[in-house]
Amino acid sequence: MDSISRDTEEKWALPDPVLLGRMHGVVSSLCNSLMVFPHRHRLHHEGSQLEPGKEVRLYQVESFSWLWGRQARKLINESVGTFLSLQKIMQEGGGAEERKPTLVKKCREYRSMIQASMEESIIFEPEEVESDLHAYGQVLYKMELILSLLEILFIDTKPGGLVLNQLVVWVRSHFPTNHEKKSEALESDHPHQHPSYWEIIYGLVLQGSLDDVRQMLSHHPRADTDPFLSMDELLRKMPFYQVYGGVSAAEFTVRWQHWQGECERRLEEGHFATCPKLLTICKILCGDLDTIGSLWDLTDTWYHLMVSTLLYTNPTAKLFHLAGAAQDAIEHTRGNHSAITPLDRILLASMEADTHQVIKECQQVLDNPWFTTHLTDLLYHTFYQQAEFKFLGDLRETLILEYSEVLSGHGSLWQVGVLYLDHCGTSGIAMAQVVLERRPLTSDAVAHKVVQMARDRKFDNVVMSVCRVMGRRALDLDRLGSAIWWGVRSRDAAFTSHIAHKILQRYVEDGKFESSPLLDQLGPAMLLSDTLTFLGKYREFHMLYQDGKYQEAATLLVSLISSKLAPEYFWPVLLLDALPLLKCPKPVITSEQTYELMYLLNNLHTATTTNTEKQNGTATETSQEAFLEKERDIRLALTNNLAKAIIKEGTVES
Amino acid sequence: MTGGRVSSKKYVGSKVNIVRWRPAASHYTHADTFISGTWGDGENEVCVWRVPECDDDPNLQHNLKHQGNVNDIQYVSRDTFATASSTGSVHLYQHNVGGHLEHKTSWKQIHSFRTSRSPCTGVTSNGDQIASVGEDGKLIIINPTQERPLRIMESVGGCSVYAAVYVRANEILTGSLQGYLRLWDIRAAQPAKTILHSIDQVGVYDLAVHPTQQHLVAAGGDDGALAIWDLRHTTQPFTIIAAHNGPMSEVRFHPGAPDHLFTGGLDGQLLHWDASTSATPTHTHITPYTPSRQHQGGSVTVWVSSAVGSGCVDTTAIIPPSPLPINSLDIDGTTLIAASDNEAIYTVRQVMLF
Repeated sequence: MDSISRDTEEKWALPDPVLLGRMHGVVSSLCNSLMVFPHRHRLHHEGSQLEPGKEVRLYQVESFSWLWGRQARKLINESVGTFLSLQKIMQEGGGAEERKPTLVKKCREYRSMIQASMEESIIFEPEEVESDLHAYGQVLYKMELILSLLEILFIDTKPGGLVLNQLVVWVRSHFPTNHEKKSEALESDHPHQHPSYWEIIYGLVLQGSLDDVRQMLSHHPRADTDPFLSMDELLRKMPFYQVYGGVSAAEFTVRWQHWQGECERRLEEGHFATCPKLLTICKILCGDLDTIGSLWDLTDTWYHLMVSTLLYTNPTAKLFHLAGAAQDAIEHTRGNHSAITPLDRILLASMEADTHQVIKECQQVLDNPWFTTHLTDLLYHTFYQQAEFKFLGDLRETLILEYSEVLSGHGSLWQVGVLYLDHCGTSGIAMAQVVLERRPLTSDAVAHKVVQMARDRKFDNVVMSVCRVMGRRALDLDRLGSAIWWGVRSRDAAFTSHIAHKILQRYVEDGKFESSPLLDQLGPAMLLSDTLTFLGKYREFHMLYQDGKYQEAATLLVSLISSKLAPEYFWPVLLLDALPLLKCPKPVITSEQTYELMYLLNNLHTATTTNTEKQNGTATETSQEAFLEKERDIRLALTNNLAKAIIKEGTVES
Repeated sequence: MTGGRVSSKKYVGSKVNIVRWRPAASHYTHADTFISGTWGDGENEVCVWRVPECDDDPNLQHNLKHQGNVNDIQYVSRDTFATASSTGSVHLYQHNVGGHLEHKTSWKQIHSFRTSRSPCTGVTSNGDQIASVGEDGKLIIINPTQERPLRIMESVGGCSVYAAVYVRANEILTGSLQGYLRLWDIRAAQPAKTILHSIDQVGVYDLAVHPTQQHLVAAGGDDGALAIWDLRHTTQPFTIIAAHNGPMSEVRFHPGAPDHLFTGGLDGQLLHWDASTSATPTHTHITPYTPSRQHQGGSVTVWVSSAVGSGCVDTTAIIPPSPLPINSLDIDGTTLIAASDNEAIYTVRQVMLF
């Protein structure tokens, strides 16, 4: 089994000459794997004959995903807990107001998982190939970036729909370089001599960290001069909107406009004429697009630029403002930037509030269904019962189905896959049954686990089929004890009858019962099939006989005989078992019962003689002879017993 | 009881089938190292973990590849332990000075069916011998210093045996799929001395012997019920208490405070059974064999008191139920470790007042 491809975009060749020109593949349904084998086309006869001695190989080609890496497996297993608890809470119902805190919490749980995974991937696994690890870290970073943006825009929405404050925090946490450099600069003896002193300040202004800017400026040798004091005042006084600050959005706008008017006034009055650096800062504060635009390389990306621009031009921006702002920012950066990346498209789609596009892009860009599945699930619950988001329901189910299919194909993660299938409707149930039914039962432990999962989900047919497979396997290995245990669990009458026959035949051969304690304790399971009932009852007879309860033993034996439950090959055994009872000094078999036995013996006699006439095999003859010899004995005992019984019964009556 | 309980969950990236504390260096300290064995992966392994003093997650010290699933682990001495493999082999490992593991020796495929190999399901040890059981129904006695098994004891019917424990130096109790408990005397020529069985063919998945009262055995079954057996009255279990919603995977008495018992199940629950508060120690029930003088001190057990007999035991869930089976648990001092199919190792500190 070769895992050949790690990258779907590349071509890989199977190094096997036999396959040349006649490759044929079949997709196996549950795993993401492909079976490749040589195939001879009917039409091309020449040259397609395989050399006789040559070995032909089957290749199993599996797609490799970073999901199978050890780090990602932690993510998979941790996220299933969050996923399940989210489904549980959502099922319990509650209004939108009750749902929101849960959704925000769960979204943050996912994010913290990704972050933890990112940190670990940096610390551990030095043996991994550098580029692999880097790529993995990149994927995680992107997922976190997207998820946190979506959390701000859709899930953790604030009253009034003002998004800018959260976006500023989002930008700060994803572009921490300015803060890192600031600490670095402040640690030195002369912060203002740091090579990128002003760049750090501009960067911090663009991220709205004005307190940090003031701290930086205070370390400048000219901090006591008028321009610096004036700037410090402006920075200190800039109003920030707070949702729960007791200030309405309209009132905030007034204050903010007043503040920006003040900035413009000071700019015009030439407060900063002596210091061009401060002039630039003031221009940013005034929302001068050209100045902000010229500093765009400090912002790294268009979305950072967009947030910075909005911060100083439209601080009460709402979701619907973002689409335009994003377009402007992209326009601005495109000249310098290369082509727009897939990540940009996802972020842009999010800002355009086009969830469908976001999911589509995520699915195409990120090489794993993990993120898309969980994201869609979150969005589905967020937009629950909103008409325009109806498509999310079906999409969610499909994606979960796809994700769990990937998991189910994995040798170890199939249990997690089944957990997801519980939450995607009827197709999920059907799929879960198939997954459980097809799991290779390598040991009893696996079988017990599959049975447990199937039983929890009330998949009776799966429980039955697993038990039947285990029973059949035990039977093949001649482990009759195990076979009957599984047979009883499978509730399959035909199969248990089959095993019961096997046990009886073995008893006929060597006079011993395997696993007699099990047979003694069959209980209600005995009613599963006639043969099993007979077997159980027959064991009961043995027990009674051993305990010396001859009277009851005899009644049971005769009832067994007259009920015709016994298979024909077992009749002689039953009659022979009756022999010691017939010879009891005190008659335990009544005359009525004796007639029954005589009837059976007669039937048996005719059956054997006709058989002997039909086939003159020597082997059968000897066994017939053995029986005929005993028959005489039995007949004698029967007549003796009959005589005794009649006398006894007659005596009692008189 | 739950006041100081601190539990943490560490995802390890593979399904863990078994966890075992390494015995502490002396009686006065608690164990700080445990080993785990994985199952279900292409490559399985045994790992050594160290639990830090603070509330941090356990740290991986060393890992070694293991052929087949690790079905059971049992320490033979403080430094050596035996593992039961799904390939039917028993492996012996040793802790080295540097905290590393070393594979010492194996008894390859001693468990087998007629035509195929049979998983080895359990190992137990009395300190100098190792006994292993498998799905082939065999009980095999191994001397760690010899290449060949000392003795192979077969049971009729070819029924899978899942659990084995030494109840005395020379007596082993086994529990099987079909629900028998068998007491084997390894000195005697007879195959099995006693056969007991539970009703309804409830499979016995795990057995645990009371640390001080060795005639007391707890058995965890297929139906999720805990059965307490007094081996001197073998006609029926002393009590059966239902708790789990699925088969029980492991039963452990607390080694130092045997009034407490812990069970894990395939239903994802991890339960703490506390008989100390609900029952008073008694020795009236079992007087004939032990002189009452011996009951002074700590050797009295609450498990055969009438309160336990009527099912009155405090049962608490230690962790929120996991969606996937809890495969194994072990307890030493106040720290409990457990492993699940969710690829997580749970560490629960201050699990009880001790």
